Amino acid sequence: MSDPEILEAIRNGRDHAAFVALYTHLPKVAHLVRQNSGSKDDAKDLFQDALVIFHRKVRGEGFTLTSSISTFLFAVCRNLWREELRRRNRTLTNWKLEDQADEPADLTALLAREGEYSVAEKALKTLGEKCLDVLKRFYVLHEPLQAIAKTLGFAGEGAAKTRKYKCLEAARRRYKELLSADRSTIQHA
Amino acid sequence: MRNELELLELVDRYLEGAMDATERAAFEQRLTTEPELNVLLLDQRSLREGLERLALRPAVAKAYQAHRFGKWKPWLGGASLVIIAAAGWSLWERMPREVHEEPVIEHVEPAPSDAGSVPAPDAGPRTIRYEVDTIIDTVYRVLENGKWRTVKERPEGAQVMSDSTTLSPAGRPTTGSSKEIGLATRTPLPLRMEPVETKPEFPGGMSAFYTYLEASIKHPDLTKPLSGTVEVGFTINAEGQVESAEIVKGLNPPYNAEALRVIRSMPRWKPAETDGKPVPCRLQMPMQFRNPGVEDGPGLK
Repeated sequence: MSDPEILEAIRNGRDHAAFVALYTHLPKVAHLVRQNSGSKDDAKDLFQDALVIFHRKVRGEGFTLTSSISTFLFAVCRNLWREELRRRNRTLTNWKLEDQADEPADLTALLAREGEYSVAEKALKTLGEKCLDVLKRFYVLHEPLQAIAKTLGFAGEGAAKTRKYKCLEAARRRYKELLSADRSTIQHA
Repeated sequence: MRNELELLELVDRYLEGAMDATERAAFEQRLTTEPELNVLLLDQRSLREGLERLALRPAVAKAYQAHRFGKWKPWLGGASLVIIAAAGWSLWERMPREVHEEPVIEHVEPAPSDAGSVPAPDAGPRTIRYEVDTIIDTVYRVLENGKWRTVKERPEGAQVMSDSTTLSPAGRPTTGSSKEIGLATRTPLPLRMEPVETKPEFPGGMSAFYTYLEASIKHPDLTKPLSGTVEVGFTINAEGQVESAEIVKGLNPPYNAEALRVIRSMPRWKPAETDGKPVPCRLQMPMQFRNPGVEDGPGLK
């Protein structure tokens, strides 16, 4: 699939086809990671994060892509990996300064935002199944509270609302914990 | 807590852009004077975005499987293909839209061979990973002129049976007498499918498939009828036709033969698709035979 075809697929909700096509860029990223003290699994995880970020960018407001998809994914991975190595107290050895030239100007801001959201994602993952279910139905699938109450067996709309509130609060507490733990390990702006 | 709950609702409304200009201005004014509200807003936005990220994970993991599968296929050349289920088991995969992701059943298919010819030396067994597609549908059974019929709408005056009442595809009621005029069932129909991007489709959809099975199956005329399940495996090829139908789990020869006959005489399906191209897809379908008063017997192959 060509770049425009991939973008088209994502816009039309054909995520599977788009993601499969995007995985052709994985080897280049795997090479970078393995050259810089990472494993094959690290490369896969990193690349999957980049895929999530790319998908969200394409579906996000005012989307523009100034480079090729390959360049974008690679730039995201390089930045995320540098961050990860900093966490592990290592530096990216083969990372060259001139590589930065083709990086989208707003990449730093985008990655900072996504970095916070990924912490939130981690926090959400620690919630119980039912909690996550309620939140996903409400915020991602946009199901009405009444329908959620019916499907998940709550007494009514009010009960579902209270449950949603409690789950969100639990996630928020966990998010705060993770965020402060994260900040104490990375001493940079 | 009441107050906090309302605050949360307010932030949600703001983030969704559901406020009108006046309300929005008032909220933004509050933000400048209430740092706590500001923090709540940022946290709530992060959590909502985090949820969106989490919701993408199953698709990303699934595509990785497909990517690996595509990469290895060429040089394995039809030899043994084993798909490693590496995808993390996540809640998202159990959502109704993703139900087919849930349990994974592996079935080793014998090496492909042309009828009568010796199998190619490199053709080993093939492991198929199945995903279960549970169609949950509410249907009503109506007895008319001594025959059971399935309808989608609840018939007037129908007696509703419990949710757990099993509906027999053979069209015979599991419980009760012929006096019943209606029977409501919430029927899980576990159809196992090889994972494909776009599922194959029976003309008219899954409920039509179900109706077809019910209408077509005839109980073998035996002096000693059996109850039990026959599981049939079959392939819907790229043309939508049934291929290589076989018994996976048998009951006894007359029942097995009947199950195979019904599967083989199905109309053409809309084939499965990957990247917009039709591809064959392997399926497994358990078919229940129920005879009133007969307990499920041990499956006789």
